[in-house]
Formats: sequence, C-alpha cells, structure tokens
Amino acid sequence: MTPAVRSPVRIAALECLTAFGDAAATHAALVRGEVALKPVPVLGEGGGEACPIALTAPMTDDFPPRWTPELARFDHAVRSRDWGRPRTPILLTSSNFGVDGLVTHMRKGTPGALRRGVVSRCAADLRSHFGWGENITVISHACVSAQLGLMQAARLLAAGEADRALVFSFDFASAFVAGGFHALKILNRNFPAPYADREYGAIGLGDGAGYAVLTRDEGDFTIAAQHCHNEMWHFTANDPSGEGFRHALAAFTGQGMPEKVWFKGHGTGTLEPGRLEAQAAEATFPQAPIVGWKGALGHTLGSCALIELAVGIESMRRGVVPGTVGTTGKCFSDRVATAPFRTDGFDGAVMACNAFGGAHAAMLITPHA
Amino acid sequence: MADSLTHEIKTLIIETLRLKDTSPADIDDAAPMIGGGLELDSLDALEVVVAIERNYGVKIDTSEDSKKALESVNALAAFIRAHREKAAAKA
Amino acid sequence: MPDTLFIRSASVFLPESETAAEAALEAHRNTLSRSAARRMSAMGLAFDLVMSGESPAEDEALTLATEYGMTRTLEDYLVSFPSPSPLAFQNSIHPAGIEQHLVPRRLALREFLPLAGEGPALMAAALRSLFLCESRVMRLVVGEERGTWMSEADCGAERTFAFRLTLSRDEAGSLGSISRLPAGSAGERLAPFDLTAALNDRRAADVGCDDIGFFRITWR
Repeated sequence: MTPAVRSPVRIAALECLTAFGDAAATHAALVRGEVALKPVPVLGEGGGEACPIALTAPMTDDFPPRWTPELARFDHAVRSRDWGRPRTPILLTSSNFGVDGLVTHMRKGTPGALRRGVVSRCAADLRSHFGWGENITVISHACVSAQLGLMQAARLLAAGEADRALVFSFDFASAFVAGGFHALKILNRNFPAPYADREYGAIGLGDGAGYAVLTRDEGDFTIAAQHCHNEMWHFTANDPSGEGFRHALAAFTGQGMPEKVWFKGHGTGTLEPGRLEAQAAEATFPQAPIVGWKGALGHTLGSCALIELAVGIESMRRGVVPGTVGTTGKCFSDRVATAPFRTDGFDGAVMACNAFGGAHAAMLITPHA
Repeated sequence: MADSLTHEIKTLIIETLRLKDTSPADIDDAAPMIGGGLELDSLDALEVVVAIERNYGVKIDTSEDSKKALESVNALAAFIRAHREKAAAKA
Repeated sequence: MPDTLFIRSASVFLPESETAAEAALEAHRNTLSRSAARRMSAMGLAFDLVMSGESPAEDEALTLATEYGMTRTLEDYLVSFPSPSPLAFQNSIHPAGIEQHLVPRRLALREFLPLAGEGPALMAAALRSLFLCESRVMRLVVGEERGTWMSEADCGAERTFAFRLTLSRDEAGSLGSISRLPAGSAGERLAPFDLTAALNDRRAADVGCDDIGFFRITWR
C-alpha cells in the first residue's frame, strides 16, 4: 500500500455553484435537509422519463449554452490575463465540458454548438473568454477529474513550478449525459439514497461548477495529503472484494495522519459501490461518521470533488457537517450519518471520489495550524 | 410460440452486439447470459436491454431489474411474455 | 522534480494513409480474442498496438493525451438517440480509448492522468506531467482516431495515429532522454500529429509552448 502523498497546499480561495446557489447557500440547504433534485425529462427538450436532476436553469438545446452565464459568476476570480502564465497554471477539469452542444447540433444544426461540444475546442473557447494564457492542463477523467486537478496543482506548487494554481471545474447536466446514464439504468425514476441498503440503486445528476486557488502559504485550510489509485477492474464496476476502496483509504492512515476524521464519500446512490465504499470507510476509519451529499445535490460528475470540497470547507468554518440527505433507514454501515453533526473534536476530513474503471482519488483536509 | 420468441431474442442479441460467427443455434437458452459462453458483460446486457425495450415495448427500470431479466434467454423470454399478458389483460 | 527523464522504449503507429491505418488496425483486431476485440474502437486498437509488450506495474504512471478523444464512438452515440446506446455512451467517455487496453488485462495503475486540450499546449502539459509523477516509471500515450462527419466539420482528427513512450528516472540502457529546458527557452510548437511524426523519425527536437515551457527530446 502506498501512503498518501503529503505535499500540503493551502486553499487561498474557493467557491462553488450548485442548484442551491453558492457554497454558503448549498451548505445551509444541506444542513436543513433539503433536496435540490427534481423529476426532469431525461432527454431535455427531447422528453423521456422524468429522472432526478438538480438544475441551475432548465435543460435546453439553447446556444450559447445555458452554462455560459453561470460560469460568468466566477469572472471576478478567474477572468484575468494573469492566469495561465508561467507561474500561474490552470487546471481545467470536467467530465462533460460542452458535450451538450453535440445534441444541440444534432437537433438544431447549430455549427457553434458542435464546436463547443469538442473538449479541445471548448477549452480553447474558455481560454479566449477568460483571457487566460496557455499554461492550462485540461483533465478529463470522469468523476475524479477535479480531484486530479487539485492533485496536479499541489504537485506544481510543491515542485516550485508555480506561485499560485487555479483549479476550475464545471459540469452541467444535458440530454447527452442524462440520456447515457439513463441507458445505463442507474439514472431512473427513483431518487438516490446514498449508502442505503435497499433493493435498487439510483443516482441523480446535478449541475455544478467551482474554482479553487491553491498556494503554498495563504489560506485557512490545507489539503494536507492526496492519493489516487486505478483498479482497471471493469468499465463500470469495481473489484467486488472492495480492495480498491480499502487501498485508496488506507493511504490516509498511519504515522503522521490525524486520528479523528470524518469521511465524505463518493456515494452516488448505486448499490454495490455504495456498499463497498461504506464498508471500506468503516473498516479504515472506525470512528468516523460517513456522509455523502449526492442524494441532495445530484452527482456533479467530474466537478464533484471541488463542489464537495467547498461544502466541506464551509462545514469546517461553520462547525457543522450536513448529514447524508436523502438517505433513511438501514444503511450499509452504522457509521453513515443521516443527520448533521458538529465538527468539534475532529482533526480534519477525508474526502473521496471514484469513477468508472475503478478510479479512486481522495484528499485529507485540515484547518491550517 | 416459445421457440420463435427465443429465436427472435437470440437473433436480436447477435445483431445488437454484432457477434460475428455466432448463430442462434450457438446460444444456450438456459445458460447465463452474462459471463457465460458468449463472454458478454453487464454493458453488453444493457445494450440488449435497450434493443428489447425498443422492439417489444417493455420497460426495464433499474440495473437490478436488468440483471434479473437477462439471467438467460429463457428468463428474458418469460419477462417479455409476462409483459404481453399484462398488456393484453389491460386492453 | 527531476530535470531529465530517460526513454526506455518507444512505439509509434503512423501509417502513410488513413486507408493503411484502417487495414493495419483490422489486422491487429484479428489477432485479439473475440471478447477483447469486439468493442474496440480505432483509437482503442491503436493504443493496444503501441502498448503491445508493455506490462505496467501497479506503482507506475500513465499520462494519456488526445485532442479529440473517441470521435467515432461519439458519432455512434449521437445517432443512437432517442434511444441512447449505453455501450456507445460508456465508450465515448474520456479516457475509454486506453481503458480498452488496460481494463481487459486488469492493469491497475497508481497514477493515471487523462488529458485533453489543444495542440502544442496539450503536448507541453503532457510532457510536464511526466516530470511531476511520483512513480519511477511513467508512460505517455498520445493518439487520435479519425471520425466521419465530425472530422469533416473540423471537430475530429483527420488521421488515426498513436505513440507510446516509456520513461524512467534511470539512465542505464536508455534510448534517449527528455529534459526540461530553462524558463525563457524557445522551441517548436508541435501538435500531437507532428510530435508523433518527429518521434517516428527519431528526430531530436525542443518541443512545448511558452507558458508551460519547452522540453528537449534527444536520441542516442
């Protein structure tokens, strides 16, 4: 087992956008136990079964896409020629980028939408819009994309290759993505209940975007350690022994690691991965409450690590962690917390995500001493 | 009637998954569809589900329901027949 | 962060024409087991070809870089609407192309970094990522698959090609090296296809872009 890499970086700035609003509004809604997911026709303007999706705006075939004005909310922090230069790298992450444009083009013949649907073109358009330089690493690895961005940013800072690093991530639901998850039968008419021991699994999808500015020496919170591991077991399934999850979490135990942590898992609402993750978390951190927020926010796919980091930091600032909203009844582990709890007595939090192909990525977050 | 439905299903599987050099006679009606002699996995099964839904008008809701319906060709045929009987009873 | 990494082995797939590429990939498909070959795209086959003979250990690293990803599969997925194909959806998700090689063999990897992006900046970011790896052995896999209507609309690659470099921090027995050049250095801005051609010719080159930096590739 390889221990987590300790290249601590501090979080100088952090914000997110979900269907609830910014990080503070999202945290408050989760503490109140609210669910942003609503039944939405899975193919958007194309209709289809109503499935749980948490949207910031209706899922349409408009071009420019609905997410363009949403990203403009971050202009004050990210729209600058200073970013993307030799000492200020950008890690641009998503699992979707502009794929909504491909369905828009197919339905309406909009050439600009086709271009926006190609990852490299979408990234180029964003660079132009935000005035960035070329020092951009574009990462797309399904649901661990943003976590890998945070990891690469930390490495650049630790290696002395950067003074500040911007991690920018966005994923907005669309017929392209919702249609695909619906075809995989995991997005269906049922609402998600992460870690619930029930007969059927279900996910929700959610809109999400956010940014983080990481530095070596500025900020109240630290990403103290990070780790990744890729099972390559199957395209859509994990090693059923749970070894991949245990391997990923064990990296945060041992010498130098805090004793009392709470655990924020990936917890999408699918059954088998939820069971494996909950059981691995209980085995690795026996005292840790286990939470997951996708039952309320939906799965924000490639951006989930950054969105949920923002909620996690807000939790640490305000002293209360939202419970696993949307989950009731028997769970895969008795450690699953369905109600909010206070952060008193905890030294930090381990936050994990995982993706198709058995990709795992996680980080340890602590207040800066 | 049963034979023609299972034959149809096997032909649909072969066409949907583009199984070269496979004929309906090569597929055992009672054998597990996933992980059996055809070397199909859960993704293949879902592809078959989409084709079944389109061709027979049935609806399979969750991935758990998909696994049950696709335990074998016989299981799938039984699922479709049950759906047809329900639809006929309603009419 | 090391200043130099050493090339242990390299493999390039760069046929003279797209017709030759298709023929070569179909010939390679016919060498694979039925279950492995059935779902592989052109990109998957190209990556499988350049990864032949490699057995990455679990504590090694792999960076994947592609500008357009699985163009043909994207096209297939779109035409499947309004009954979206789960298989095409799954295969269209970056980084399915290289996973078509790694997953059937269950080649677990500690570090796996799938990159996208445009041209020279993508190549520079990919090369830089190798120097940031924690692992002692790292691979870079780059490639594209030609699409049909998306390529015709300049939204997909014009050619199918791929390369793989295996590097390590150890110089013994190496074929060449990649070194980081000091800040302010200049060099060639090479897009994936052009870098593939340079590697195919074993041509020494300084490659990268201004904001990320340049890297010197040399061969023994």
